[in-house]
Amino acid sequence: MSTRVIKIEQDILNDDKELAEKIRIRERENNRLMINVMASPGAGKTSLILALLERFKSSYTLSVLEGDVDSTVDSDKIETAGYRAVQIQTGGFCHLNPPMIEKGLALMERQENRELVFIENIGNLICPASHDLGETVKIVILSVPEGDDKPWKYPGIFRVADLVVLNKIDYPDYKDFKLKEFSDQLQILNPGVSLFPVSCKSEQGLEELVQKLESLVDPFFD
Amino acid sequence: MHELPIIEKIISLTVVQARLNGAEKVLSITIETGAFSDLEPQWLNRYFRKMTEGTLLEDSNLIIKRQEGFYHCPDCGHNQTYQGQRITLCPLCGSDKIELKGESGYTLKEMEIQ
Repeated sequence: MSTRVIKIEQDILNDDKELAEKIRIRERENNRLMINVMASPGAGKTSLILALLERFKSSYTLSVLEGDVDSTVDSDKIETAGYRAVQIQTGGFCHLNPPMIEKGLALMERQENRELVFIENIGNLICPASHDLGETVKIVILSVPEGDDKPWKYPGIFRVADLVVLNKIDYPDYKDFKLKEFSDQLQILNPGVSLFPVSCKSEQGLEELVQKLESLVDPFFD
Repeated sequence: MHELPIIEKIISLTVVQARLNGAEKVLSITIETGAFSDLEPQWLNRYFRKMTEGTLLEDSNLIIKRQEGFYHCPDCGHNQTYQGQRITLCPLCGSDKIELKGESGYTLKEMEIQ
């Protein structure tokens, strides 16, 4: 029997990418923007989100979509701090995808004001990089104890970041972290990306980060 | 783990195309992955074999082509293939503006049917 070669040339994630773009456009029209926070477990995603919520509360309505494989530990922390949170349990999946975001957003009634929704992605430096969720800003956090060589080891995630946060600069061994080398690696992988060294604990560096984030989101609000 | 949802998408896209083209059997599927994609060929193949059992795609060959990344120097135009080596200065002109370029996605390229 004869065989034939069929050319296809289709992006395998095309349906997810189309949905992400649809979400982004629709939510911007709704005056609601999303910030996707990605990092390994323990780097400080929840701590950074809590610190930013505190600083943004007078300017925006705030919500959090909490992605985790299991549990409601993080959404409980956010709700205890007085903010709206929706927990998305992925049941083993290692990243969030646009259909999960759609379900989460559907559970959050639209507010009148300008609204920022922080998405706390699943803790890992690999697959969240490949999945556009319809966000307006992607933040990647690395923490000092993880080491300064991570951009070389996980290039994918550092390449897609709109801004990189180096957390835990209050860590006692911060002096051993080669900040210049870390920053140089980031520029090779992602030219022009901004780096913000902060400590969520001591609050050092957070004001600069807040100003940068405002400058990235405000042009999209009415 | 993250290969599994990608394999599901590859299978559903391929089955649609196979039916549209009146295939009785799919012999091979070719995908291309970017230099910075997160897919591991060994796991792709394992999931693929398991999940195509009993479908038009059973026993077909999954061909995975990986694109190469490359360093590019915007000052002198030098390009050099990336194979995991760490370069911070352009080896030709010494510029510190050197960039690492490459794709991170995955594309379904073609399939061979009978």
